[in-house]
Amino acid sequence: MANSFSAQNFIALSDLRPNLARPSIIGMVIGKTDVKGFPDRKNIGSERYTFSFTIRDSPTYFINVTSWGKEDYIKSLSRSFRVGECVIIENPLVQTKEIEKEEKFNPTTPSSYKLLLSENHSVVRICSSYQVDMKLLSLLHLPIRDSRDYYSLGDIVANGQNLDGRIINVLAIVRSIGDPKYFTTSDRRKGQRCEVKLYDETEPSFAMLCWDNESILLAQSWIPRETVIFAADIRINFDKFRNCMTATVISKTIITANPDTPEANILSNFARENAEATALDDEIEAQLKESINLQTIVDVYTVEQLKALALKNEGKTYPFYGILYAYISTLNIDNETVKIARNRCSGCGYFVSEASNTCTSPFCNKDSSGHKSVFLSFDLMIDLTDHTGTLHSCSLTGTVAEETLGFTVHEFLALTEEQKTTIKWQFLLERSKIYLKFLLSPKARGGLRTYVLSCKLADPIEASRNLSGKSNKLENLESRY
Amino acid sequence: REGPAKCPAKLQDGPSLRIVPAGIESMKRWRELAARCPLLFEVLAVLDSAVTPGAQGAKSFLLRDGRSAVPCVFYETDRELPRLIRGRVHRCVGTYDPDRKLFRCVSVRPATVSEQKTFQELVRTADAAMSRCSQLTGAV
Repeated sequence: MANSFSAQNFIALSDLRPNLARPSIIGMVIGKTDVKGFPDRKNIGSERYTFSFTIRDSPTYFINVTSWGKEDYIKSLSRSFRVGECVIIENPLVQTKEIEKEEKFNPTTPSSYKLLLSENHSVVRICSSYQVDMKLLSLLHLPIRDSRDYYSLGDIVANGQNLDGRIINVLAIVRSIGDPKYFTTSDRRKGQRCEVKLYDETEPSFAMLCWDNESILLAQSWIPRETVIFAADIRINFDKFRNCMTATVISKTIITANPDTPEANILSNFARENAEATALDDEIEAQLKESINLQTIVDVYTVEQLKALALKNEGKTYPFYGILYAYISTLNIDNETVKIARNRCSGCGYFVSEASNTCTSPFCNKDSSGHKSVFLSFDLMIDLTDHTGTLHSCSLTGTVAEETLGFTVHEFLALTEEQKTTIKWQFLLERSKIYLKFLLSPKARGGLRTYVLSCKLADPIEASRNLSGKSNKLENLESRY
Repeated sequence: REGPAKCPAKLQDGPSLRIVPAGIESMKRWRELAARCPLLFEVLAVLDSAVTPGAQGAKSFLLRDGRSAVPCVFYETDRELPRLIRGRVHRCVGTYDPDRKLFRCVSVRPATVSEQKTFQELVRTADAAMSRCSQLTGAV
């Protein structure tokens, strides 16, 4: 264990004092805010940047860390780690905290101090998780409050508007994680919003809103119908528009995913027992939602514009949507050597390995025998080409593929090779109108993962009108993201 | 990569395939200018010959738009060429071989009325995009 980092080699957060010479500390990042810029009063016209995070090195102790500095330094420091990672900080400035001022916007900590990082004096190093001592890692699953000090969702609903504006703790299961939405405020600031649906034994669905990038990123790592969260210091509001109670993640909130507590274990078992029923509900809901979504997708792009966009937004993970009028240039559906359908697990929807034919996904809740039923689903990779280039390996799967080809997967597999070839040529190299979902992904070819939401032969009049359109959709998109 | 690649340098994965709606003349022109760019052309033109069979399942014919014409070949590898009617407008997709001055078609079918009505607009759009792309590398 020569390379492992444990809290023993460092000064404990509980022992930090303002007059220590060059202290070194280690801790798990349990909370983090977005980077913000402020006008620099000493240097008119320029901006200073800041962000804060919270680190923990023991079950009882955690502390807030704030960093100020130039845009480049702050942004690159903030980018270098996420919630759930372990950091070593050398030579932070230990400051006594003014509780009222400090805790208005930052997590409430047991420490009477806070730490300041400066570009010139402090160093932050990120430890990879396999180097980190188990004792430190286990802190990620320990809520920062007493494990019994929470409201069930039913309690929140029962209290209703009495809880409007209150900051409380919530323990619940993640039901679904919505796609982040992006917008520009009336004062031209960019914003984002992501709605997470929670549930527990008392309430089937309860909205939790995230308005900052860090909590949205964190939410993307949760697994629907499996992850249990303990959200400490979350704000409860009455949503007049929807006439219901909602929770909002604020800068004080610290969320512990999959807490290792008896209460969370009970909830986790409940999630496991009900996974199938809620999955079915959500699938129906998702299908309804997808059909509404298609109508809201209006921006038309060329392949070139999409590639430029992927390059420009490298590193971001937000999905975006668009319409492409393009030709399918690869459609391998009549070649015996290419697999076009695979089994999916009915429990979690993941593709199942052919060898075992059982779900090996670590996210899947298996029943006691370890077996889940599987269903056959189209799994095609198509290339889309227009007059500006090609998008490779766009994913065309499930019911979207069935609607596109006009056959269910079982009907299609029963066709002769000749019939499959005929069907292929109904679509191959024909101009199509394709609704797409894009995920920027550094691992994918061209930095873009592309999912087909709908694909139909294009009406030539509509296609030519849209392709020759004078409005520059790329500029629209850039201003939005 | 230096030379007449006609794609923006910032597209790191090299020039990818384009499918360009074109007239017969502009197909020849783009093939020459964008020599290293993989190109397929979509051409709408009148069938102006009989369809004649050749070796290895080849079917040859002539397409004409206005004063320009191009000899075409279609290989019946995985399927037969549909019945084509001389004097009608057909939609052909394929590659242009500048050495043999031959349009090798992989998809051939009669063009619909609305395709014929809108095709010139699509050609103009593609022309503009291809010109912009060529200008980026200073090759035009």
